[in-house]
Order: sequence, then structure tokens, then C-alpha cells
Amino acid sequence: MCASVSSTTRSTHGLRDAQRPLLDYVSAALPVGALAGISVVLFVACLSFSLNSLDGYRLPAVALLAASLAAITVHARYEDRAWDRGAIVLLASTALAGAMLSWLPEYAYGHSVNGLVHRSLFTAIILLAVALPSMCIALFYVLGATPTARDRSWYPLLVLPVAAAFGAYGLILARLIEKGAPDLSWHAVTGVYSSQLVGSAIVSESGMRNYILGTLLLIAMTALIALPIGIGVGIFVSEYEGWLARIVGFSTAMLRAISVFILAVSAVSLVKWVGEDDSTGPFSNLIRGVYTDAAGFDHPTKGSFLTAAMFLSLLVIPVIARATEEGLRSLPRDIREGSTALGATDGHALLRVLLPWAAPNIMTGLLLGTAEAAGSVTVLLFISGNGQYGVGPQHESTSLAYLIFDAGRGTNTFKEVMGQYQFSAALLLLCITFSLTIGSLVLRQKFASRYRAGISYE
Amino acid sequence: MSLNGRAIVPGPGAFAIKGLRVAYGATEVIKGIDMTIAPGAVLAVVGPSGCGKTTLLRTLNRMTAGSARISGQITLDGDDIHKMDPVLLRRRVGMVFQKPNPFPMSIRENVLYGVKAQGGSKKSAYVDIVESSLATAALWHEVKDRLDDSALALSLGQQQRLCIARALAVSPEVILMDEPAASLDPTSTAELEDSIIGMKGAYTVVVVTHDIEEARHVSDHTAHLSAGNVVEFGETEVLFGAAKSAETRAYLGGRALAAANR
Repeated sequence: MCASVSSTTRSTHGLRDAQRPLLDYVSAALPVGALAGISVVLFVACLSFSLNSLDGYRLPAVALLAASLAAITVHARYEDRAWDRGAIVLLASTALAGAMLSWLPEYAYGHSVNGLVHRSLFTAIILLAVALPSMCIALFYVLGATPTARDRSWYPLLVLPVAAAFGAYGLILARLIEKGAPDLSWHAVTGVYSSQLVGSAIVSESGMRNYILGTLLLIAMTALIALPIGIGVGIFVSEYEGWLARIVGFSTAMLRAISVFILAVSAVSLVKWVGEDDSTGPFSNLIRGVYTDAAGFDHPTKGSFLTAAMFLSLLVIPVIARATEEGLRSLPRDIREGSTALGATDGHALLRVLLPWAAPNIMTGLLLGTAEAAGSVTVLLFISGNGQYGVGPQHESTSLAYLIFDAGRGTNTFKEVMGQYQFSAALLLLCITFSLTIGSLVLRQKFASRYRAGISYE
Repeated sequence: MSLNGRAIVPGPGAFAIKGLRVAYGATEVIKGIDMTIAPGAVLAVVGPSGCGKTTLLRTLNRMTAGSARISGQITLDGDDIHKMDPVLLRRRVGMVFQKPNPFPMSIRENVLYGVKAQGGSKKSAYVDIVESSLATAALWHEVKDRLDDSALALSLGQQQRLCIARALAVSPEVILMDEPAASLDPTSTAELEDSIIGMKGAYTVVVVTHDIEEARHVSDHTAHLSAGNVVEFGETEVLFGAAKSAETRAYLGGRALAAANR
């Protein structure tokens, strides 16, 4: 902000006193109007994250922005009789932005791949870049052009990008609800997809039950596998010194950096390796999954829920380990010493003091990690099936992600029968991950008040 | 003083220190100390900051930092403490820290923490252990109606007395205190001093303090440390009345004089 602060005495304006009051009101109204105008411009810019085209709004937005800035400049002139440097810079950049935006169609049509989206994004970025500082200056004058107002006029820069992100998220959510919610009937969530050849006709059933249950089972199994291992690794890295602990800590950090697609490929190769002899032995069944037909014969499938959960837990273990480590490290040293001085063994201290203290961190790590894994379930599409064989540790794995993906891409029958649920499935998946995230926040509070007596030592 | 429900009621322990030297890296903090600590008495260790008081105290229950190099011999009732399992040593030698450090649990759980950690006590004895140790620490009447409240809700002075009760609950032979009144107000300090005096006879108490008046008030013996050496060690009355060393006279007297002038 480089606006000059106005003086409260405005004696020499070369205007007759009788004319002053009206002009004062007009001048005071100018920044308010500018603020409103810039807000509209910002709204349009944010809207472009969900609109495919901003073409219709572009020129009016730039015109409104320029008018708003002109209003601020006039106001500054009237108050101070000096040029507001900030407003001048912004006027110039608005002119530049206008020029860029009018040149943009040429550029975008030249690069026709997703030209529309491309252009809207550019428009949005240019508008945001000019409108945000303008809003700060407008706010400065609306707040009364004092040093305190100068500090507070930074708010739009800090708040609006976050608000824009939330706005975009909200619009996506609204779209999902609009398209997905009407299809959520009782039949939709309890029915089971199946497709059979009866005679020469294909008889199929629709329903998402197995995908919902599959997602929940995957989350539960992933959490069960990842929790003890993650806590163990966290304890080892935080409590034991030496090269082994350092190596384990480093490897866990590296595990976080591994691409999820490497995990997917590993899962596929494990299933392939186990299935090379096409056997249906107990171990093979556990890894590949098994389906018993009506006649009692076992058939191998593409990969079991257990395998999927094992690979997903590789995503969650580092998160839990890190959370555990941080929780343990945040325990004040004098509490630790208090336990040692009472003749407690390290094991007793771990169970009674350290782990309860770290519990809020561990819970957050578990739920956030699991929510992330629930979203990353997509990478296991290679070993997922369409869920018609049921849900259980040894059954063929499936999830809502499979439905979302394959309802648009899969075999014709599946697309015809389940295509209608694509948006409903996305909505359900979003609800599940969202409740995990909310749950983690609530549990963190609860554990913190229970095991840390609500008092933070930081 | 006996604690109900404990199968063994050990008597107060006697420390004997011979040629103790402690160094952190190249810095020697304790430069050869010989001292015997009488069982059942209160020993005050006084001296200027950085003279090695706290290091001496922490050497006695083997809670010095990992980098400390220790030579010389310390025995507790004749057993070399460096040949004992440190966990077993700390069960015989309790400690109270400079800053109150209750666990984030209820008052009752705080008192029972060491008891449960060490095992061996029957659950039926817990009620008596809680009452008697809180009573000895002069805290029972203030908290008897809210034993299940969080210990962190207590005032700092109460927290410190809870830490004493916690140390007493496991019937140690010796209690080490590292400037226990450092973060307390005058009223809490007086209450704390009363509870230290109440422990005489049943426990050996070693208390490190900056407060000369406190040392004079609570202790039977006083050791004056300076730059890692014992300047003078003897009965408190003798030391405060007619110390042999000029340095001790100046230290104790100077502080007393400063207090009188205040």
C-alpha cells in the first residue's frame, strides 16, 4: 500500500464552502463504490474456476475494474490534492491487463487444446492479480485512511485466495450434489451390481452396496494394518538413538515420497507372481482373492481386499509414524524425567505417559492418513473388480473409486447399468473422506482434553 | 513414619560419597567430593549458581545427562550405586524437581504412578497409600474431595507438594529435592518447608537450595559448595554460627546480612 494518508484539514480546495458538503459525500462514496465494483470483479474471477468460459464477463470485468480504480484515484485527489502512487500503478496495470486480455483470444485459439479452459484460467489469474491489490487500496480509503487502516487493508490479500479456494471447492460440491443426490435412492445404496447371461439375453442388476461396503472395509483394514506398524515405527524412530533408528526414520520418509503408481505396479506384480501357477491354495487365495461359484468351485480373482489394504497401508504408515514421532517429541522433558525418577521402566512410561500424550497426534495421523488412502484407492484399480462377488478380506477388492472410474470407461454392460451412479458415487466418496477429516478434528480435541488435561505445554 | 499396606518399610538410607568427580566434556563440574549423608536427616546443599549442586544431586540417583563422565564411588547403605540397576536405585532414591512436573492425569493417578510402575502393592492398599503420602506432603486436606480432578488444575505450590507425595508414595529411603521452592510464592514455600520438616527421621532428604534462610530452617546438616568443591560441611547450627572457612562465613553471612537489610 503506498497511498498517502489524507490530512483531516481540507481548507484550500479552491471550492466555495457552499459546495463542499455534497462533494464530501460524493468523495466518501467513491471508495465504497470501488470496493463493491472490485468485489464483483473478484467474484467473476473466482467463478472462472468452475465456469468453462469467461468470455462474456471479461470485458465488463475489466471495465468495472478500471472504473473502480478511477474512482479511488479521484477520491485520493479530492482528499489530498496529491496523486496516489498506488492507484496510478494499478491503473497502469489495469491497462496492461486489459491489453493482455484482448490479446488472449488470439493466443488461446492458436493453442486450441482445451482453449476455453485455458483462456478462462488466464483471465482469472490476470483479474485476481490486479483486483486483489486494488481491493486493498479501496479498503484503505473505506476504513478512513489512517495508519491503522493501512495495516488492516492487507486483509483481502490474506483472506481472498483462501476464500477463492473454498468457493471453488463449494461450487464443485454443489455440482456433485446437484447431479449425484437425486440418484441416491434406497435401491441405489443397497442393490448389488450383477450381470449374467441368461439364454441369449444379458440380465443385470444395479446398485452400489458392494462399492460402499468395499470402501469402508478397505478403510478399516488399512487402519488396522497401519496403526500398530505406524505407532511402532514412530516409537522406534523417536525413542531409540543410533544408526538403525536413523535408517528406519529415513526409509519411512522415503516411503512417503514413493509415487502411488509404484505401489500399484507392485500390487499387480505381487498378484501376478502369486497367481503364476493358477492355484487356489490358501496363500494364493489370500493375495489374489477367491470366488466360489454356485457349484462349489473356487476361482481366482484379480486381487483381494487384503492385498489392496496392505498396499494402501503403505501410504498411511509413514503418516502415523510421523505423527507418533511428533507427539512423543512434544512431551515436555521434565514429565519424562518425573517418570524416570519414580523408578518406572521405559515400557511403563511408554504405556502410561508417552502414548497417552501422543494419542491426539496419532489419532489425527490415522484418520487423515486413512482419508488420504481412501481417496488414493484409485491406484489399486489394476487389482480391483466390479464387486459382483461380494465383500470380505479374501474377496476381489472393489471400491467407489472403481465405480467412478469404470462407470465412464468400462465394458458396455457396466457402463449402461452403473453409469447413472457416477456422480452419486463421487458424492459418497467425498462424504466418507470428509467425515474422516471432521472426525479427526473432533477426536483430536477430545483426546487432547482427556490425556493432556486440555493444557498445552508448547 | 510408615506407609500402610507396604510389605517392606525400608528405613532411611545413608549415602557415602568418596572422591566424586563429574565432568561434562572438558569441563569438570565436581572436583573431588567426599561426604557422608546421615540417614534420617535433612541435608541442605547451598552455594552459588554453577557450583555443581544440581549435578551432585542428579549423580545420586544417576540422572545426570548422558554425556557426564563420573569417577569416584557412591554407596547407598553400603551398595555401590553404579553397580545397581538404575531403575532399582531410583525406586530407593526419589526426586523432586525444580519446576513442578505432575503428569497430565488425576491427582490420585499421579500419587499412584510410581506405585503402579513398581508393582508389588495390592490394589486394596492404594487408598491408604494415597492418603498417607498426601498427608505427609501436607496436601491431603486441600485435595481429599477432588482426588479424581486433573493434577494440572492445582496451584503451583500444590503441584509441587503433589510431586513430593508422588515420590513418598513408593516409600523411598532417600528423597532428593532440586530447589523445590524455586517457582513458589512465600506461602507455598512455608507449606513446603513444613512438609520437609515432617519427613525427618523417616526419610533421608537432600535439598539443593539458593535460599539460605530455607536451608537454616529445614536442615540438620549443611554443605557449602563452591566451584565443584565442598568448602565446608557440618551441622547447620555450627555452620551458621561459627563456620571455620571465611568463604562460608561470607556466603552464609553475606546472604543473611542482605536479607536483614531488606
